[in-house]
Amino acid sequence: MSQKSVPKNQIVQSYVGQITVVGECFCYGCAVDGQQLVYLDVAGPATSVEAVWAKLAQAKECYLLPPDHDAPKITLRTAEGLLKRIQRKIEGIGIHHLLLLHQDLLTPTYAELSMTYLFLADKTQATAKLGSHIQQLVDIAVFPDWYAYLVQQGRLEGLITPLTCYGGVNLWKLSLDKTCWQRLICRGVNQRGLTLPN
Amino acid sequence: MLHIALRFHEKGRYESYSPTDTPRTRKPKISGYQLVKPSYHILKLLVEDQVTDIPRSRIVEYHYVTVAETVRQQGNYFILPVTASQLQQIEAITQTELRPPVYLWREDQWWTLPQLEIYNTGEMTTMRTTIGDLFGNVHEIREHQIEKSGLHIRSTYEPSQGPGFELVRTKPNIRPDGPANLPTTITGNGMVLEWKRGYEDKPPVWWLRDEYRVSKAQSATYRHYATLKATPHARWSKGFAAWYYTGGSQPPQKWLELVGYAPASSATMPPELAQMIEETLAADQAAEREPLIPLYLYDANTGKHEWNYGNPDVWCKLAHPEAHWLFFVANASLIERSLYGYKLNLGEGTVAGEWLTLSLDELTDPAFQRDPQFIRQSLRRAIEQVAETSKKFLPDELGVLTDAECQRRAFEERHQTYLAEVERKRALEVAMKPYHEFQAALRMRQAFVEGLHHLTSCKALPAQSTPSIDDPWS
Repeated sequence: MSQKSVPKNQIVQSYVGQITVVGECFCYGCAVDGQQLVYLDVAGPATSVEAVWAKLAQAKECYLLPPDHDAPKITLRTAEGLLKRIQRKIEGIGIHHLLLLHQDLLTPTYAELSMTYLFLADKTQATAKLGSHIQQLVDIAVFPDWYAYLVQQGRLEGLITPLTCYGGVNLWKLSLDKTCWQRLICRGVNQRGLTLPN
Repeated sequence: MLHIALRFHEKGRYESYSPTDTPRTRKPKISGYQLVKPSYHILKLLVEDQVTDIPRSRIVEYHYVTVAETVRQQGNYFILPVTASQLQQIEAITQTELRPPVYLWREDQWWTLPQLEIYNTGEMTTMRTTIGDLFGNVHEIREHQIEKSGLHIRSTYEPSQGPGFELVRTKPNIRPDGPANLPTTITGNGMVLEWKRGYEDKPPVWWLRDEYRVSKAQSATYRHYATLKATPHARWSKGFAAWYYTGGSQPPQKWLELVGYAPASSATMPPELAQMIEETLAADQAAEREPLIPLYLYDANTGKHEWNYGNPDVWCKLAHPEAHWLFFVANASLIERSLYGYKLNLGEGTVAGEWLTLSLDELTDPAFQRDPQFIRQSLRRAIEQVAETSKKFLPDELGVLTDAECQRRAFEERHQTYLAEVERKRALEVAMKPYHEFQAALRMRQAFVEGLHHLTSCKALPAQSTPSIDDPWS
């Protein structure tokens, strides 16, 4: 899979290594937040990929073996019940494609101090998504013109941080800290970094 | 008395066809025996009235019989008494048989009866072997020279293994019913010396045991353990808890002395002979006399000598009643044959003590006595006991330190050693202080150099630059 052939707003897939639980299956992307697995993209026979999911669902460790023999193996860990499974069969070749995604990525919680994750496939889209999250988080108005400023300041404040990613995927962590974001916006308005639209 | 042994094979229990007095649904069963023909004929000859044939016998080589219980059996043999006249008839039966299983018990051994025997005639004959096939073709012809053998009647009796067991000897019982010149049981000094017949053909044995079952500490035999152990042919039986002597029909003289047995002097013995015997016995006794200090005492106390400020432990007390002195042994060497100890002279109104070394050869005088009750203790304690008994002197007069004083001195010495050690450590610490300070400074300098090297060798971290507002994700 070449990175050039995919459209701009698609998640890039590239071979990372193989995971063997029951049988072999192949990993095309993986992102880890500290010890917690956030995103996993595997393909292979149905039993193999389901075995990977079953093992992770029981909060057991899996090992991702990179093709380079000198490279250390990547340990995949997760807490129980945190991953959402999306699986489909690729017709014609009998291969199952499995995506495991963190629940916080799919259903963010704004009412309490939590976090969510963003795919950075297309920067505009990612900026818009972040703005959407902030809009829902804070109790003050957030205008689309402010989104770039919020990304910039959020990164400086440590509210947006990149995850450890393998393969072509690029994932960021967004801290849903209402107080911090509100203070950041207020400061921006106060220092004229943010201007109210006319 | 002559006996004939006839071999049989036991063939289990047969159903009898003989009519019984009481009506029964089942046929009664009887033991059946299989006999070869000569044995059967001899059996019929000797005890015809006690033998019944079993009519079901279909194997012509053997006869099957039942016998009355009065016929003696041993192993797989019938043992039957036989007279000289019957023996001739038996010979007539066996001399036409090849190795009949019939044996004669005579002169305390088994004999084979006159019988047929295979012998080599000495003539040579040629034996031809033809090797061929089914179609009449001859492949090979071999010829062997073999010696001819023949049969002849051996008319003599030959000694034999027989059935493999011996009949009980018919001689009168030659075993004695009691020991010669001694009573069967002698009791004295808390011990019993008993004469017991052996089982079967075992010789009689003298047993020495305690009169009553007592603990080891109170046991009279254990008190004389060394003497008993030193007796040749004497052993301790754990099962009977007694010593036994297998050396002869008479018990050892020492054992008789232990039980205090005094034989009644026979009037017929001339006095010279009696005196000679006495002298010999006395010489033997002197040779066998128990050493003044037994070996186990040496073993128990070797290598445990400690001077202890002139109050060492002593473990043996020797006394010479005529010379009025006591000797407390503190150390001994069997190699040098010497004793080292404290000699206590008990004079009239005076008492004196000195440390000296005695040679074991000086103690051969039988007047020397060892106190068997004396146990290992400190010299001071031993002296105190003597002073208490004699009441002639006070233990302090001899200048031997008391146990408490010795302990106090030992403690003081240990304390002094400890203080000296502490002082030595402190002095060493003072002396080494500049060195340790120098070492600490060196370590500090080393740590500083390493830290500096670490800091200077690290790559500079990229400064957190503000992302541009146009491309905040870059």
